Amino acid sequence: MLQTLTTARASISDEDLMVQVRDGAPGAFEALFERFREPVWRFFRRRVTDQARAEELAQDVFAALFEAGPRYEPRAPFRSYLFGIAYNVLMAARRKGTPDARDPLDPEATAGSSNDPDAALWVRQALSRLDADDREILMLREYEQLSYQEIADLRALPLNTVRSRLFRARAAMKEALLS
Amino acid sequence: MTSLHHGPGEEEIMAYLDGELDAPAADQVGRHLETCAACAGLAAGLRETSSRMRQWDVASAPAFTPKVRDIRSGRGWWRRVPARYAAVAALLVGAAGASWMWRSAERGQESLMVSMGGAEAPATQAPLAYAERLDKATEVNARMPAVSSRAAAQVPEAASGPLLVRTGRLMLSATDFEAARKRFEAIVAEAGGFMGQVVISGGPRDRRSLSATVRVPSSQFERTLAALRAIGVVTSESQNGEDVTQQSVDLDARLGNARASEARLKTILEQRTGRLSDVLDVEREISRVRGEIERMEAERKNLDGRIQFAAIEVTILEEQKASLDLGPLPLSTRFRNAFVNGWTSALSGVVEAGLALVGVLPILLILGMVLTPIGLWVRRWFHRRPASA
Repeated sequence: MLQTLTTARASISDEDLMVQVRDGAPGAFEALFERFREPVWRFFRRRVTDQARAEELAQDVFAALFEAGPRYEPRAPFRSYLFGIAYNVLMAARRKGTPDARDPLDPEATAGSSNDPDAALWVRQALSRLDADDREILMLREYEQLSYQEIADLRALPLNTVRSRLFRARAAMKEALLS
Repeated sequence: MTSLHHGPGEEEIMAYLDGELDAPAADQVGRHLETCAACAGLAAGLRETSSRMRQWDVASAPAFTPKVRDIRSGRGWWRRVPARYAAVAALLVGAAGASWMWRSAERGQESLMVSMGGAEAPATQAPLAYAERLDKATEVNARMPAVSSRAAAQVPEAASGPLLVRTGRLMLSATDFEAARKRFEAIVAEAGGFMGQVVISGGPRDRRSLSATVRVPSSQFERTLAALRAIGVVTSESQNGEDVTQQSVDLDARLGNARASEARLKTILEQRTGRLSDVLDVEREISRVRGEIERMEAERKNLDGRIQFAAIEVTILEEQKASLDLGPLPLSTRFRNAFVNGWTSALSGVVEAGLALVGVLPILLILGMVLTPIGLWVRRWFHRRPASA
């Protein structure tokens, strides 16, 4: 029975699963958490220098998601909704000026977040040369795999702006990787 | 990237690769890429950039849990709890609350004792709510393996004791200077030490002295000092022990970091090819780090030397000799000595008299200046006085 329920949950869309959370279905939040624990963690790990701080911020995201559950309406894709929360949590942490929440692309940040430190070093150095906004759009596309529309919704930008800035960011990234 | 003015635009090609085009547009772009080498090159460049970016992979998430004590999603969950369970829960909460209040009262009593001069109360914190304590326990348990491994990686090996640099200063007086000097050298040799700077001054007719800085193994420091004291009479002594444990630990940490940096830079140099300027930058950085490593290694060696060998400054002074006995002098020498002595005495007398005169001269002048007018007036008055009949 449990396996059937789990298998059934695996085929449910993110939006429907969140609706179940809103409606109080037991286990729905746990399923949602397990589904997005890794992506949310990676979101923060690439943007926050300290692992413990990244973990805290990831927990904050799920706490905020849980609290917002009763008010959830599936008006937008859940991924953009979730990463919107994550992005707001990150911005709030940076506004507080917490050193651990600063950009891990800083020259002083360690490369301890990656399985391949040398590759990470090269990519991070190239990313650090990009414009901050372009870089964020590029990372949301490449690492969080958000669609153009999801990025536009999250950053409150027109779709065409997202597309042109993404192209510009990729061109600059290519140049930076080759130099 | 060059601007393309035929077929789909660059951004459209990018959107095609990202799956952002609708089916007809995607089909059109796909067919174009099969025939246009330039656009295909652009697409290949975009794919390569994405592929390189994905090389920055992060480790999997640790076993953290969401900060939610009771993961029962949505509202109204309490409505599904049977009444009897709710009653038991209420009893438990009531008991916990009573226990907390009783402990608070105890702490208040302790604070009262402190304010009245009683025993010092232990530091207390405001008690957490029950849910908060459970949250913290959940978080701590979830993090424990990561924290332990991180702590184990960061905590250095415990030292066996403090690292001390011992120094001493000893000043002695000896009647037999030569014997004292030989004994001093033998003591240093027996202790397994060595002489640093040695200065011996004074001739056969003068008071001789020896100043030396010796280095002996730190384990022999006390024994050496005791043996040196026995050489003569101690006129001055001092000792000092400088704790350099923290300095040593810091130096080791900095040295380890520098070596790790050097290794990483060498790996980068070996594995990566790029512009010559970048290669030169890495080589320059390697040279700088190597220079720092060598400087720190020298500092390490010096510190080790100071720890392993204590330094003692020793001064041995020969005791003052008895007055010289020259024996009987020849007669001519005695006459000459007497004449010289007499002449010296006479001259010295004249000099002394002159000095005395010069010393009183200012007073005489002042007195003269004061008394001369008085004397003249008295004399004039005597001349003017009519002669008595």
